[in-house]
Amino acid sequence: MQRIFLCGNPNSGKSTLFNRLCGAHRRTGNFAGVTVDTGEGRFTRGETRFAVVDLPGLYSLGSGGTDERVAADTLLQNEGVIVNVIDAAALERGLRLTAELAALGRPMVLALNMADELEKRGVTLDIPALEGLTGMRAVKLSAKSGAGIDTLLDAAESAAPPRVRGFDAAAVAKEVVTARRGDSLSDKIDRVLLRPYIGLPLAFLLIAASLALAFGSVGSRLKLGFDALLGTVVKAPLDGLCEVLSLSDYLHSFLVDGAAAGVLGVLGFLPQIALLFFCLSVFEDSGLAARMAFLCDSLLRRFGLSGRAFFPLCVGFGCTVPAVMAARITEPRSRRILFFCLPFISCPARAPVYALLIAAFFPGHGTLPMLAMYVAGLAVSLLAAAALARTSDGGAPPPFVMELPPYRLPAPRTLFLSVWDKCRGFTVKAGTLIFLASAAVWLLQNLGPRGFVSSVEESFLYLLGSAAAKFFLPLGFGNATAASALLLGFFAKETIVSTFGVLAGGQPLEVAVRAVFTPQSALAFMVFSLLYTPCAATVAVIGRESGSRRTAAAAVLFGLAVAYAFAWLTKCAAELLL
Amino acid sequence: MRISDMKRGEGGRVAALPADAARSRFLCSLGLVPGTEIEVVFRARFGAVVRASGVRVAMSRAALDEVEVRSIAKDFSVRQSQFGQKYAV
Repeated sequence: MQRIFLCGNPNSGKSTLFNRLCGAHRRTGNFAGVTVDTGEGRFTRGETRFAVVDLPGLYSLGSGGTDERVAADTLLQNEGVIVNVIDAAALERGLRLTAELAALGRPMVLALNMADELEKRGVTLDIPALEGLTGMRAVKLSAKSGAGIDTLLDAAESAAPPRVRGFDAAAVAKEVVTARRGDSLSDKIDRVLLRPYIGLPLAFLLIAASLALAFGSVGSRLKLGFDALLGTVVKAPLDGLCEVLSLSDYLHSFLVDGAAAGVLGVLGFLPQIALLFFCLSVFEDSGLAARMAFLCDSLLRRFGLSGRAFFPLCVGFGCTVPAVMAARITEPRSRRILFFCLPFISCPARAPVYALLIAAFFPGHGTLPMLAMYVAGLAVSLLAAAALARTSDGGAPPPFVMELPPYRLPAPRTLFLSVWDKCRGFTVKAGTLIFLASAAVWLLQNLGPRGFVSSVEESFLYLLGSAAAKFFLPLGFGNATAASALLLGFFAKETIVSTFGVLAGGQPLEVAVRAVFTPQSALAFMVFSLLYTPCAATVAVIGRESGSRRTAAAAVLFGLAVAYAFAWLTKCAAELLL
Repeated sequence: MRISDMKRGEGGRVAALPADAARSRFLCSLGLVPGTEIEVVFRARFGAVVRASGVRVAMSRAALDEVEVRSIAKDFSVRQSQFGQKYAV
């Protein structure tokens, strides 16, 4: 068996090559720093079996970071051929790593990725010269299309340790590359897009368009269709199965109305989440995201964050869970602040609450309050970031420096894999927790001190809600219904509306809701449900990403405090103005 | 002088990086190695895009003050082909 180590700069197309060889689904992003772990895969070619190890993207072995040490150790301790993937357009920088790898004395081959794109731009590479100066085979490759892979694998099978002791990357690059140093297309586009008066509005427009696509009429229609599909394909058969197995009414209800309903409720959002992820992946892959981060840097600094935070903030509009994970690309200090601030951004799970209350109290004037909620979420998030930045120790994030990859048309295959990967993460994480939460919810609703209950007022849920209701009196919605909904909303914000449904009995939701709120308290409730505690899935992710349960708990308390304050302010303002 | 003193189209050679070891390692890793030639490809008040080691690097205004450079020449592309080896490090 032949072992191959894929080694190279971030954004060199290493992961695309890995996917091509092993068919595994790995995140490949154009936003430098996305691939942060090692992957392994296998494939067979003819009679040879290959094992491929995809090492983390590195610029240099000597940088002293964990990634670098892991890579160096892996290469030194194991047999195998190093396939050094270099972005042909960044040859000189890639060759620096090559020189360091060559010093390890392992059999090695150079893979010049994206060479085809380079040739289209009129730049030629003198391969024989490159091979002579570095002492190893160099193969032109296009990981996207697959061209050159066979030649590369042949070279890998017959690879030998480099024949040259060491070389200077800059000198070699100068010898090998024949280029006209001038403006490339990317530079020309940047000259226009990097003007704040053009680029910033464009960035906001693109984000707004993505949100409109995902959560506007297109997305909603997809959701309805998908809900119906899930109903026929999952719920109905499950219903039938319970009948066939003659399960008790309670068990039947637990499975269908409790667990299944809860999970399907969340899964129903999948088409919209997928659409949002698709748009974000397009920005990421095309190189636009890096430019947006650069443009937003000075703006975000006023709130104690850096340009890198732009992306997680955008993802937050789709779902807080992937947004917290996306915070990995920011610096440690910004990342910590983002754990506390990202949950304030309105995600699709909260939208049904606004929609219901707006329909009940402000029919016909829906757009303004809806938009206000989204703007409020972002505004509170940024204000909280500014406040946290001021109070925590340490200076501002280091000055913004980031590579701008050349603009490129995202490859459909890469896009698909990227979206698939993100959706899978969302489904699995949200799904398992929501399943447990729905089970808990069903139990709280149907069990009371006297066992199974016939009316909702006797359930544990209602009792807990009544007890918690006093807490909400100053906000105007100190009743058991609202409190119960908010309690369950901690598990998944979608359940707020469904709890109203359960507690309303047979009444239409809007009628039931008008019985427990006034227009003013409805607004306060909307603000509270927007801001209070991250949902359970988010809390779990924050705990995992920060490595500290204390941080997760602090985020919950912070959310409660901020929500209470702003909800109270909203109520006062509403009483004055309405 | 610093990169912040350069205008669009100007070329320079990286002379020194900030004293902080982690910071200078990071800048090196992106291509801003002492001795490398850089060219300012885009310049605005909020920052610049610099081509170094064949790579485009976006830097905010504060970042431009971090890197010391020696000026090469105004018309970078012409000088590059005329003097080639003479500027080898």
